[in-house]
Amino acid sequence: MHGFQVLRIWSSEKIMSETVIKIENVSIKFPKTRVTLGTVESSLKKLIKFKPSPKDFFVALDSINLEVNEGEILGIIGRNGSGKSTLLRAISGIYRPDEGSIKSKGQITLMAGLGIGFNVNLSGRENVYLYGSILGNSNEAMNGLMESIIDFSDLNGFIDQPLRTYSAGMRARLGFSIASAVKPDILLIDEVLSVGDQEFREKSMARILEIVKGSRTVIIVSHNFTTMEQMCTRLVMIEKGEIVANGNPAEVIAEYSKKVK
Amino acid sequence: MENELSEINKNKSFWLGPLTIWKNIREHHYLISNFIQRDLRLKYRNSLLGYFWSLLEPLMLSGVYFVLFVIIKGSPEPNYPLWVILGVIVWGHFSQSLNGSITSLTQNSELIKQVYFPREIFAITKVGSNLIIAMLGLFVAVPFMYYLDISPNEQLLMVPLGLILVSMLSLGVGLLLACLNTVNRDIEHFFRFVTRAGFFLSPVMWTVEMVSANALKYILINPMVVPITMIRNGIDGKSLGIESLYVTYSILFCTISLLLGCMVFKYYESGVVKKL
Repeated sequence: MHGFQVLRIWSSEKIMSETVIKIENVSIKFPKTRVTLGTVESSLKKLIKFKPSPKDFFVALDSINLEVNEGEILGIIGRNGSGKSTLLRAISGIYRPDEGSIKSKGQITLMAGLGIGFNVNLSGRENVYLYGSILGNSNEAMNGLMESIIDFSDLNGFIDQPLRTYSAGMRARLGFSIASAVKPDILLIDEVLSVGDQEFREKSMARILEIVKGSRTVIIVSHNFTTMEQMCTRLVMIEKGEIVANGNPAEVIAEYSKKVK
Repeated sequence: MENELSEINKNKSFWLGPLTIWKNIREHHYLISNFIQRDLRLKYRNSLLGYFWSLLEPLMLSGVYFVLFVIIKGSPEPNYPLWVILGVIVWGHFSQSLNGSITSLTQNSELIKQVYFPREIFAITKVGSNLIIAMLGLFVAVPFMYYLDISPNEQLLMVPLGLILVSMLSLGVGLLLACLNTVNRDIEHFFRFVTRAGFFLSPVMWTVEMVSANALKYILINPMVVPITMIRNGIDGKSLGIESLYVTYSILFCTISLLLGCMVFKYYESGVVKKL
């Protein structure tokens, strides 16, 4: 635990010059209705009125402005459904903003729902190539990382077994090892720090700090405030799709506890 | 420094769709080949005969159709079994690719919501893996050619052209409808019916030579007639025997549907992801 604090001081003292993510005035809306006969009716209405009414949409992000600098570990907190995951997905390119723009620099990897791209009938090794290419890496690049991935995930005896023989924890460990081994310039983490057992959790935190040390950037979404306070250099609090607090981790957490109460 | 920041998944003009997809294919060819390998590995997993099933399946199917044909029409020509096998393989490629690309977004919604990469890759890999299965299947023609004493000639060049046309058509129509299918799943049910009905309306069990000149005019509206006949006659060593007007029509149909499919897909892609 002591080590994290030392690192935090070190990384916050670093000169943070360059902006690597710039979010300007971003809004994202989701259509509320699914397709039934009702939507045929509403789409006819839309044709007549030309403008959909605002109540047809759920506003997930509302005019978000945020800049993230190189080397920062930015934490995002907020209640369930406040728009944290949507923001991470928008940064990684999954959702295109309805308004505003998101600009970034370098390779971005989103760690969320670890192992979603896995296929249970392929071996662990085959899944490393598959997941690696999903994250945008060539087979040659994955060859170079294979040893370290197997080592880090502690799956030595299992790597050539089909993934269906793995436990959920083992799959998540493999997923984390691959996603963090490719060393993206910007790493987005959505609620995956509680993966695996205590030992692996400590190891994965150390890995994230290592990524940051290489002057890379991390954005974390988590409900674990203790971890967030230890790791992050800055916290942002989101409520109903808007940023309501932005700054020193301890202060933002205090604010959060005041609001939630 | 600021100008180095770039926007990912940027909104581009409708007309640029095909170009964007072409760039994405080149940029993500690792992913495409890994996905195709995965599809092929998984298809015949845990089976004793493995890849032989791509040969056995059309072989056995054509056996059934051969019996059916004998019952309905009496003794057919000696080459008939070969024609049916080729028809079944090509139609299988078309219907699997088309249905696979139409459902490519809905089937992969979990992955689409967790990682960003160009989503047309799902449809492209579906068509790609079915194309490889079809090409493997075509080797079943070799013993038949030997047995029926057919020696391959320059008409064989029509085979790759036919396969390309089928792939273009299925990818084009599939991309065109994939976005719509996320909004309204009726599309996939309807097109499962279309590919089943199309089996009988396309020269799979029959050939264009069996059709009267009068009916042929209408049958050739179906853009699949030309590619199937190209592959069949190419292997059989016969010329195509279809007026060049209809051949041009079919080629144009496949090309335009591919271009249009790319444009529509790229235009609506980011919007429909929110509906998944």
